[in-house]
Amino acid sequence: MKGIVFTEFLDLVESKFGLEMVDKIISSSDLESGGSYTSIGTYEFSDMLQLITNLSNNTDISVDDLLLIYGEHFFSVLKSSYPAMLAEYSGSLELLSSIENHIHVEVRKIYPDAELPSFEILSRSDDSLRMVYRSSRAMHMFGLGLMRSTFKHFNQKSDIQYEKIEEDGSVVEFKVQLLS
Amino acid sequence: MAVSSDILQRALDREKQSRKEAERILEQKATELYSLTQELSKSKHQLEILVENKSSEMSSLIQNIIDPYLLLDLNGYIINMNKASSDLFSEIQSDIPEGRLNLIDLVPIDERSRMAVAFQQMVEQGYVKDVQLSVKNKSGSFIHLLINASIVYNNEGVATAAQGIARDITTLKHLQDEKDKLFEDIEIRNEELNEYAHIVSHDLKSPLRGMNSLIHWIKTDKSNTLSENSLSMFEMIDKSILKMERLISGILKYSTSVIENEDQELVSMETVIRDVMDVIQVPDYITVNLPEKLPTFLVSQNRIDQIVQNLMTNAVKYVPKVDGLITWHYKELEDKHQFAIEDNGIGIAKKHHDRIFQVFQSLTDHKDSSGIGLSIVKKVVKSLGGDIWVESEEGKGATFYFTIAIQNRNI
Repeated sequence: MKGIVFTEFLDLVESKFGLEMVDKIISSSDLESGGSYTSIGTYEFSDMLQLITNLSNNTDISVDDLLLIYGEHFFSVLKSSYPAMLAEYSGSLELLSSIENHIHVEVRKIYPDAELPSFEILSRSDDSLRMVYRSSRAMHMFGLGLMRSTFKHFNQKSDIQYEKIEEDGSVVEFKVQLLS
Repeated sequence: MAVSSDILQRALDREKQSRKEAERILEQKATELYSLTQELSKSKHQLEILVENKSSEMSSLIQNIIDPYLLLDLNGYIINMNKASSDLFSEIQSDIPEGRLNLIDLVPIDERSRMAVAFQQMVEQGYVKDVQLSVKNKSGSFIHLLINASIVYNNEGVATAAQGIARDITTLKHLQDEKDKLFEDIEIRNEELNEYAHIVSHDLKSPLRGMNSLIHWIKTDKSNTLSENSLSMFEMIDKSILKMERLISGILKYSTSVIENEDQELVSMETVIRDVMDVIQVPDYITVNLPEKLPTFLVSQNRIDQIVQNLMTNAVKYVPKVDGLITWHYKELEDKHQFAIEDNGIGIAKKHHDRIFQVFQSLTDHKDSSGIGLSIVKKVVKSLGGDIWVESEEGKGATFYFTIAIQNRNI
C-alpha cells in the first residue's frame, strides 16, 4: 500500500484525536515498518489494518465509519496532488465511470507496482451509474468516502446505495443516482 | 494539555526514521533515473542515426525520381525539391527569386491562377489527379505537364505538407496530336476511296449495261434472221456481261469490306447462324447441325454476319441435293474462339486449298459465283485477329475453320 495512504491517515488521526492517539495505535500494533512512514514508500496492508482497527478500538467509532471519513478526507489529497487529472472531468459520473479505464491506467504509469481495486461498470445513464467494486482489501467504505467527496467537488447531489455481494466486502455493488 | 515527553520522543524518532527511509528511497530512485537517462540517451542516439539514414535514403530517392518532385508546406512554400524540379523551373522561369520560394513564384504569371485553383482543390479534397498544365519555356515553345499531387498527413491524420510530381508529357502530347491527325487523314482517305470505288464501279458498269441493251435490241430486231449459232453466241455474250458485272460488284465489296471501324457488341454465335439460315433460306433437303455450346462474345455484328453468311452460302451451294449435311463445330482456345463449318459437298483438292482464299478464284464455274467471297471472308477474319483455313479432300466434303481473337472482356 502506498505510503501516502499511511502518512495522510496518521496526520488525520493526529489532527482529530491528538498525537497521543497516534502514539497509542502505533504502540499497540505490531507494525512491519516499526511505525514510521514516508509518502514515497510502499508498506504492508496489514499495517493499515492494524492501525485502523486499533483506532476503532480506542475511539468507539466503527472501522467502516473511520474508512468513510478517511475516504472523504483523502479526496482533498488527490485534488491537490493531481489537479490536472481532475480538471479533465465535467462531472462526478464522468469521473467515476472513468476510474478503471483512465484514472487507474494513469496511476499504473506512475506506480507500476500499485495494487488497485477494480470498478466494473454495469450500466450508465445520464444521471445514474451501477458499478461493482472488487478488492481483497475490502475497503469499499473508503471508496464510498471518495465518491461522496467527488460529488461535493462538482457541487452535485447524489444518492449512493451499496450492497455487499460477498459477505467479507471484497465484492460490492454501488448504485449511484444523481439528484437534481 | 501537554503531551508527555515520551510520546514526543517516540514521534520524533518515527519522523527521523521516516526521513532516512525517504532519503534512501530517493537515492535509489535517483540511481534508477540516472541509468534510465543513460539508456534513453543511447536510444536517442540510435534513433538519430536511424533518422539520418532514413532522411538521406529519402533525399536520394527524391533526387533520383526522374520526374520533377516537390514537397511543399500547406501555404505553397517549397520544403524540398529534386534536381528535375529545379531544372524544370529554370527552364520556364528566367528570374527565380532569392530565398524562401513559393510555388506560385515559380509558375509563369499567366498560369498562376490555374495553379492556385488546383492547389486549393488539393487542400480541400486531399489530392489532385492528372491536372494538365501547359507552360512556355524560355525559347517560347510549350512544355505540357501532367501533375499529380496529394496532401501529406502526420500519424494523427493532420495535414502537414503537400507533395506533387509533374510529368513532362510534351513528347507524348505531340505523338497523340500526330496520331489524331493521322486518324483524321485516314478517315478522309477512306471516304475518298469509298466514293472512288463507287464511281469506278458505276462507270465500269454503265458500258456493260449499254452492251446488254444493244444485244437485247439486236436479238429482238433480228430474231428471225439470226442463225441458231449466232443466238447461242449472243447468249454467251450475255453471260460474260453478267459475269463482268458481278466481278465489278465483287471488287467494290472487297475493297470496302473492312474499311469502316465498327462498334463491338456482345453477339451470340447461335443467333448469328440461325439468322443467316433465315436470310439465305437453307433448302429443306439440307440438315444443319449446331454444337451444344456456342459462345456469346464481343465482336462487330456486321463482320461476323459477313463471315457466317459467306461460308453458309458456299456450303449450301456445294452440298448434294439429297441428304445435304452442314455441321458447325466450336472450340474455345486460349485466346481465340475457333469455329468450323463442315459440309458433305464436293470437296476441294489439296492443291487448291490456298488459292481459294485469293481474289477472283472460283474453282467451279458456278452461275452466281464471282470468286471473291472467300477472299472477303479471309480479309474480315484477319481484321478480327483470326485466321481461316480449309481441310478437305476432293469428293469427301470440306471443313472451313476460322478463329476470332477473344477481346478483353473488361473493355
